[in-house]
Amino acid sequence: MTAGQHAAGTLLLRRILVGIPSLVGVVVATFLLTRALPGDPAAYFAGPAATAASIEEIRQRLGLDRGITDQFILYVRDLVRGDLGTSLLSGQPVLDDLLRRLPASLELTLLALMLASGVGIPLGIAAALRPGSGIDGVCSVLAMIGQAVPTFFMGLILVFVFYYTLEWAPAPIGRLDIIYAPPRALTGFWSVDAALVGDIDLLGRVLAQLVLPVVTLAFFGLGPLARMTRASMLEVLASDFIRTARAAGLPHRMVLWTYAFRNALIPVLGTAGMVFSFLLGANVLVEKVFGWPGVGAYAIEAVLASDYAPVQGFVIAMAMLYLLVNLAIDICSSIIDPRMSFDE
Amino acid sequence: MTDDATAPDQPPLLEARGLSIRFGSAGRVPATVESIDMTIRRGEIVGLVGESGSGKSLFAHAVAGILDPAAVLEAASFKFGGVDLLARPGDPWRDLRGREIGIVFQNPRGALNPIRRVGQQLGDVIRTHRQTTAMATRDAVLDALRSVRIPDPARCADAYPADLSGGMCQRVLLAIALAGRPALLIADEPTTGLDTTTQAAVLELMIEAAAARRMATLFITHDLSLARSYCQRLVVMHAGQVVEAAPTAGLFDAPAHPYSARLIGATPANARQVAQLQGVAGTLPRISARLPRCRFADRCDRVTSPCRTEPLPRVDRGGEHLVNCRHPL
Amino acid sequence: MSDGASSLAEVADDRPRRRYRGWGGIALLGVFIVLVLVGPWVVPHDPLAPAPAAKLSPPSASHVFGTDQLGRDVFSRVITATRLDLGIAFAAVSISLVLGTALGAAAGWAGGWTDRIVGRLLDTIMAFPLFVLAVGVAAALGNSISSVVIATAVVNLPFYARQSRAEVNRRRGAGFVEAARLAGTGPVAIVALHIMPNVAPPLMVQSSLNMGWAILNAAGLSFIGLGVRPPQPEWGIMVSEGAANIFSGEWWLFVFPGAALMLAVLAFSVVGDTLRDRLDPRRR
Repeated sequence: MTAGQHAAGTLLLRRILVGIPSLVGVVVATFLLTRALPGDPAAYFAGPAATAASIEEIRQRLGLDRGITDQFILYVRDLVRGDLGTSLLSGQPVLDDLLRRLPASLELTLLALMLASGVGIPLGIAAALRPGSGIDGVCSVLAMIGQAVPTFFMGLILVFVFYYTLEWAPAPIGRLDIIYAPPRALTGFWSVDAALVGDIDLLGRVLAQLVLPVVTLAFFGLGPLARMTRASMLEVLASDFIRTARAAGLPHRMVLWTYAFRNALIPVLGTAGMVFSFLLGANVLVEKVFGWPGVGAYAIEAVLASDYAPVQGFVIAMAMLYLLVNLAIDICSSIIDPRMSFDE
Repeated sequence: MTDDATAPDQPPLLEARGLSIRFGSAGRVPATVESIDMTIRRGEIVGLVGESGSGKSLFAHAVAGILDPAAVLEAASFKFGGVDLLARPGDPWRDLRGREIGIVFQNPRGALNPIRRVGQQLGDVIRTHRQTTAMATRDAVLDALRSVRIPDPARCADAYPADLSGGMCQRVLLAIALAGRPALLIADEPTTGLDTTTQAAVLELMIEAAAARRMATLFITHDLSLARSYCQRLVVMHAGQVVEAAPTAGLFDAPAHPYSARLIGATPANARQVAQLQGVAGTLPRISARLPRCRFADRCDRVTSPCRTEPLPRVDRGGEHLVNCRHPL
Repeated sequence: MSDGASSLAEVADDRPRRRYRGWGGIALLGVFIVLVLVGPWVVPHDPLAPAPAAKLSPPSASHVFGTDQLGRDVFSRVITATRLDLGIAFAAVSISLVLGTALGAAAGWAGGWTDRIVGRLLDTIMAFPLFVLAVGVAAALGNSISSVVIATAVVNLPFYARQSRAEVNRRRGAGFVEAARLAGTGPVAIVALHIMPNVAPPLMVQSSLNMGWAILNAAGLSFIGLGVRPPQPEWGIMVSEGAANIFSGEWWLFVFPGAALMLAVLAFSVVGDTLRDRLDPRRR
């Protein structure tokens, strides 16, 4: 193992270790949440239609008749085994339901993040290069709107304008019109699957359904990403090493991209993580507006039906996802910025 | 006086006359740097001295072509290597930066890209100016590092700036500045923050390179003793104005401007006892306030009222010794 | 040379624009506050009274925002809802403010284990996507308005706690604190009377920005059906009910409550930004 690989391994380990307290916190917090249920938690999990006998059975199984430490141990044991309980509505194990629906949600979130970055980062760069100009103004206005407009409102406006009025977008009734068969499940991301299979027509329809929800979500990530890119670029462009690069006669393009942009990207990555977290939450609202069969819609149905296990599973799953994404971002940051491997 | 081969009748490398730099419009704000005259001949080592904040760095940035876009530059004449920088269309410094003019700054570690290996940064500059292939660049990088006396060039090239000491970083920056084989090297307080031994080593390196390549040097410093040791000619600046310009020996033997005399008096090397050290009274005037025509007026003990209101006269003391003062010593 | 950043030009340019925006925000906020105070008395129609004959009619002279599925006047409902929406947000932010500031102050003052535990707590809250956590908390506490308030308060806690902790920590060793300590003042009094007044301005800025966020959070929860029940007028639930009518083109059902939400959040954000600009010594 070379010195470089050793360093990378240590880095990975250290980053994972840093994430563990958060993981523990998440597990403890979700445990406490379920025990905070007013009234009898067992009755919650058994559901509104339960008999006294089934409530007792649930109580036994979840260990709700035992001491709090025992309960916690049981809880963690179940988690580790992947047992998130059973959904009353679907009758399936919650984990199975979540896994089945996760790709739909992830497809939205990831595409939205890509769109937000793809538009926001260049916008931020342009704003940094021309401060006080029109582009800069657009950047701030977008950021301000993105903060103030409720996600669900934006989604509905887009539906009204582009589906109802202009008739450009298809009906917001989910991932695909029911008359079309979904592509073969390779990744679960229907856009990717349709492309992989080579079915261009289907790909077109899948993308058409994706446009409005993805744009709605992306809209809210745009502001923070553009603003952070702009601020970071401005700071980097004013720094001493850029002065050296320009004074040494390096070509303009190299100074901008290889020197300035790469350095400016580091805090932007952090913002991307934050945006991802926000998108995971906003996903819930967007899924409701567009009838998207993802984990958010699953959780909403469960909440309204007082079916508690799926809600708990959903919260844990989203938290885990966020932790994983943060870990990935940390690793990416360390790759771009070798200084980070030096902090003790 | 001048002890190298530069002949006074050759056209100067850098010629600036009446050069002013201001931020904001002419009516409202006085120029930060006002009416600078400076001439540098090929191979000459000129020192630009003055207190921190006297506009030396700003002038250096202007010469190097990296002035802040918000700054407005005006001059009667501003030429480099015969090229009229004021009349040239487009970017006047487009083939001068790094290639004909190199510049080294203070705070060496901050002046290098922290997330890019040192060898890559040097390689970028070399490739830009010499159009070498990848293989040749690597060799050139090692050569360049060797020429600035870095002990283990290969390891240094693979290192990041955080791995290197301040002195090493400054050597690397010198290598970067010299990569395009410039005709003029500007050194803006290159030794601030370095310990004395490293200071001397870096300066020796610069002088050697200058001599070997017949390169002119503009050495900017607030340390008069350093200026005295290394420069052939000195230009003294105060609050954005040139107050005196003379060959080094001439300036120290017979300073003509009260400010220069004070500066020399404040230099430890010149005093035999601490008791003889005298500071320069007062502080630099602020640019935004109403400024007298001679910006030293409020600190000068020879000041009279025309000093504040009339343009500065230029007095020629002979032997290239010029002073801008109404009451020279 | 367009690749340089000119901070001088940038700051100078923004100032007049910012001033107009600031006053606009305050004016807008004023309107909302007035509506909270006198809203229910100035509405032209009863927000709860169904009138099936006039249902789903578009905006007109008598019904400025049109009528909904039960014939109720949308304008009156939007105005009446101001009290509930702003009230929920205000309650949540107040709880966050008091609890978060106290928690942060305790952590910043005591240091050591207290600091570490509070830090872990805050990290845990922030490890969840915030709206997801709000859904979880609201669901756990039962489907009521108070659970929406508590959920929003929990999710907002870290902002205040972090700020308060940092400020108290910074001032802990200051001269005037030492003097008070030597005079025999207890730690609670020192923090409350001596340190807090200094911390108040940034907390005010934070609160204004957080109000906007709390309004959105609460509206989001009601949009998905948590907290507020019909027939109570509330912006989130009105948008949700109006969403179903998009397909038949009755846009006024969701646009007006949604716009109200947006304007309320905007007002708080702009006021918060203005406060921040005013209080930031660097920008003078």
